[in-house]
Amino acid sequence: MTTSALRGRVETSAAFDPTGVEAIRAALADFVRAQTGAPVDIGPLRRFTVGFSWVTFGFRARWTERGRQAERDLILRAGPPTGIFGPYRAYPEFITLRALETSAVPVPRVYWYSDDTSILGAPFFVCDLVQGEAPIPWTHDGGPAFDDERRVRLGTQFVEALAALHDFTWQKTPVAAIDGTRDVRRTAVEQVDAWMANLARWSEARVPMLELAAAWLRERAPVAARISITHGDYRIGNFLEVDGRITAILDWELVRLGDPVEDLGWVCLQAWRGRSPYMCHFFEREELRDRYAALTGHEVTLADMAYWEAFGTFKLAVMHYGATDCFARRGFNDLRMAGMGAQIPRMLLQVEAAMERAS
Amino acid sequence: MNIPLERLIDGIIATMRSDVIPHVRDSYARGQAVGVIDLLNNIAPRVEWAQAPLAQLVAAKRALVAEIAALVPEAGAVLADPVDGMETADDLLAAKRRLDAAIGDAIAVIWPRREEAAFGRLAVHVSAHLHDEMAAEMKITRKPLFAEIASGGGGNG
Repeated sequence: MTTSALRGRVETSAAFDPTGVEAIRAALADFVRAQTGAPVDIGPLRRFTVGFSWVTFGFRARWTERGRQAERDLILRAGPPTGIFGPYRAYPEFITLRALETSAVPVPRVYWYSDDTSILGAPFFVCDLVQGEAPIPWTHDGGPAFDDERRVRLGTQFVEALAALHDFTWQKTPVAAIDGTRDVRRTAVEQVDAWMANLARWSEARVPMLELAAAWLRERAPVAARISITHGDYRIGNFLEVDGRITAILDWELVRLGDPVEDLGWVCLQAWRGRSPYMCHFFEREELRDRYAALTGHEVTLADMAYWEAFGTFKLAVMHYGATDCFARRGFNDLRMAGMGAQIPRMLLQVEAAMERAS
Repeated sequence: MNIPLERLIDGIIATMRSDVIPHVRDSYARGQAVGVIDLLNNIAPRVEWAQAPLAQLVAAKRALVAEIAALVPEAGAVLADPVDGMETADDLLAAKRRLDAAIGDAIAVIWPRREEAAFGRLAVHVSAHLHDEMAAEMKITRKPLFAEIASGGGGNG
């Protein structure tokens, strides 16, 4: 599917069965053949266990495009209707990744996508398989994820990629069409409203602690200095690295236009650092701020970072209700989702603590 | 836990059946995994969420709502719900949901007026109640095993 086709189009949904790999493989082959107008060979699909929402398969493919033979290891990402943030759309992630291909943000090259759920039963896109491991925020003893040399080396690239993303000129690219807020006075409030709407969708029970947090966040909403592409889940765990080099920033499903400080606040969440004093196991808040400012030329206050950290903690708490809901009511049997439900009290206390820190 | 216990057990059984047992190569281990399902099937009709902490929570929320109702009278409507006859955990959870809705509605009234002394005191009490509720939950919430889950196990939990 081209970048412009099928945008916003929803067809009759086929049932998405992530265990039916042969059916997925056959449907994908038909789809790619239709896109390229030439024979295609899709190798066996192997499912990766990464990620909490989209289902990821790796495969080898051979195809012809514009008369040239190509053979590559590829990734198929499909957003199941029962997933945390379902129903999904592949379009925003696909066009953002395509737009960023020529930027300094390391992203996998993307090939095809569709939001037509009659094909696989779920929106999907295909991109390059990028080599690397994804360091995770959780360590067995709660201690540091990296030694000092690796921490600074990876952390430097981590902030550079974020700065490059926020400095990317999106206005005259297809990314201008994705969801988001362009009014610098409304970006925080609209995010709070959007996540409260998600909470209402995902929880039959009211959650007074989050209603209080929403009132607090609306009242203190900062005015954005600029509007950028925001990743929405920029953190340790969502990039790949090989030998101290970040090879790809992943998991763009929450990408939108908004206040770039939102991503900086998200980096600072307690959930991504355990007992480490370093945000995402990389830098203390002040160093993160200073490095970001030096790269972008945009001064960011610790107060604004603290606000967005509180917002991010609130957002993560709402996500826990989404995980609970997709297990409890949408028939998604991944026990990690139920496990997130068990951690809601911890999350709500972190929301309270983040608000106190930002007050 | 805000997942119905019956659904939680069903989900554990489904995961064991579809995602675990087919991949267990050792026949004894596979048999033990089926044994887990067998036990869960028999535990399911006999258990519910613990009632005592839920009853305490409902009582605490009713006390808070009574205090709120002195300043926000409409919040007090939920106190007309009968307190007797709550015989199951589901009854208590339903009562808790109604009380939380009343507290949520009250927050929308109290928060903007918290500079007024009486509303300010009430806002502090509401915050303290919400904190205490979560702190009590944390006493029975175990540290998540995300590191082990992400790495595919390897610890003793």
